Amino acid sequence: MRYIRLTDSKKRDAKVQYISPRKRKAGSYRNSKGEDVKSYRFINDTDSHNPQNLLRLYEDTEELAEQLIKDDPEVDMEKAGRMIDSANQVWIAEDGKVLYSAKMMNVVYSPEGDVKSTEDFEDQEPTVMEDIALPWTGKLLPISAVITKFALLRKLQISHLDGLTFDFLYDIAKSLQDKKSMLYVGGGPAGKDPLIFQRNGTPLRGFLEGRVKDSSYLLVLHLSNLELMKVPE
Amino acid sequence: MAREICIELNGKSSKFGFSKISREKVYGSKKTVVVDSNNNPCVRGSIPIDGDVIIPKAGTSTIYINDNFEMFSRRDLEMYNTAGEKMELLPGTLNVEQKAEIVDQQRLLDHFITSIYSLEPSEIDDSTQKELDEGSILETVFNYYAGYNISSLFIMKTAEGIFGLVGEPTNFEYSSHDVGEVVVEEDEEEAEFDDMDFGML
Repeated sequence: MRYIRLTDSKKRDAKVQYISPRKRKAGSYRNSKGEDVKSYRFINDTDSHNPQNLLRLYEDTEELAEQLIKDDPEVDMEKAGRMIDSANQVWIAEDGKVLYSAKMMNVVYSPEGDVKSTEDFEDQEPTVMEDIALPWTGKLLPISAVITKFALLRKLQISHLDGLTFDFLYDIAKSLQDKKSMLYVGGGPAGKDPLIFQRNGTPLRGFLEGRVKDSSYLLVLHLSNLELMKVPE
Repeated sequence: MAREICIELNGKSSKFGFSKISREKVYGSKKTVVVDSNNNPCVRGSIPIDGDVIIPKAGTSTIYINDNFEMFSRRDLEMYNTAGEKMELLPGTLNVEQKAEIVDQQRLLDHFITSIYSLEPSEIDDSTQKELDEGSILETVFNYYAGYNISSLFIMKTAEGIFGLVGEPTNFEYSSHDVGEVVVEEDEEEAEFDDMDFGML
């Protein structure tokens, strides 16, 4: 169970849970006879036989081309076709050696794909945690304005943990429904920071929507990191 | 022939060219890369549990095999659902006219969005154009390629232009709080100390 701490318009906060949408149940493949088939991974290329390493072995590319026609230097005969069960991820340097200590950098690209800048990597801490209350920003936006301005990519259902938090969330949902609005939700003390749900997670903007029906409620946190706008040609 | 999204609303046809919108195309992007001591970028690879070989990126292939180790191409396989029923392969919807209907905002809000397209009408019926101008949301079905699941496509017009949002249902349900049957005394009485048996504690 994952938790979030929300604040209402009376500046009371409460720990509640959030739930992701249920994914479609995946099916399974069978052959034309209706027999079960399973997918397995097999080696098709090894680092010692990949094109970069072959180029390093043959100074003359013509010689390599001739070898490729004559033999199969690109195929690792001993290893190719072997089934892989589990493997560890590694980083390989330009010289083909495995890194024992990795350094990370952030590369910023422009919309055209050009490198704008490079900077040292720094961990981004989450702004959504069960012990830090997200403030009530008071920024109410008409639902029609939100859906035409932002792509609401992800959704989380906010749900109560007990009778007290049921009343707390029901009241928030009812007030949002009555006002036909969504509440802008952000992180940090003033709600100006993005919502980050886990370390180095995607920064998102949140919009809380509420509905009530009889004695039940639906409270959904819509998340977006994209405005609905045309891409310049 | 360029692929188009073709819809039919109230018996009238419209066609839209489309291009995908992504965060990278709108704002650019930030990628984390691993570099060596000379700040040269490194590539991802893997070492199997035996530890005798380094496999570069894309150095493995996935193959479907049965219990007799016979190999099958994915295109020869059929999908079965969790109940063991064979699933129907649904054709792609592009260039094939699909029925559309006007839906309310809640219908769109009840879907999470997986892809966004900018739409340019190549042929649009007047009544469909009017609906979009007035802020109506149209819903139709969408499958970029043939597949076993079909998505919803919501078409709407904003100040920026016409957009198509591909979504999957959230299936969220209303939350209620049922504490079960609670015995309530019909008349509230003032509690008396005599009712509290401290001896049984």
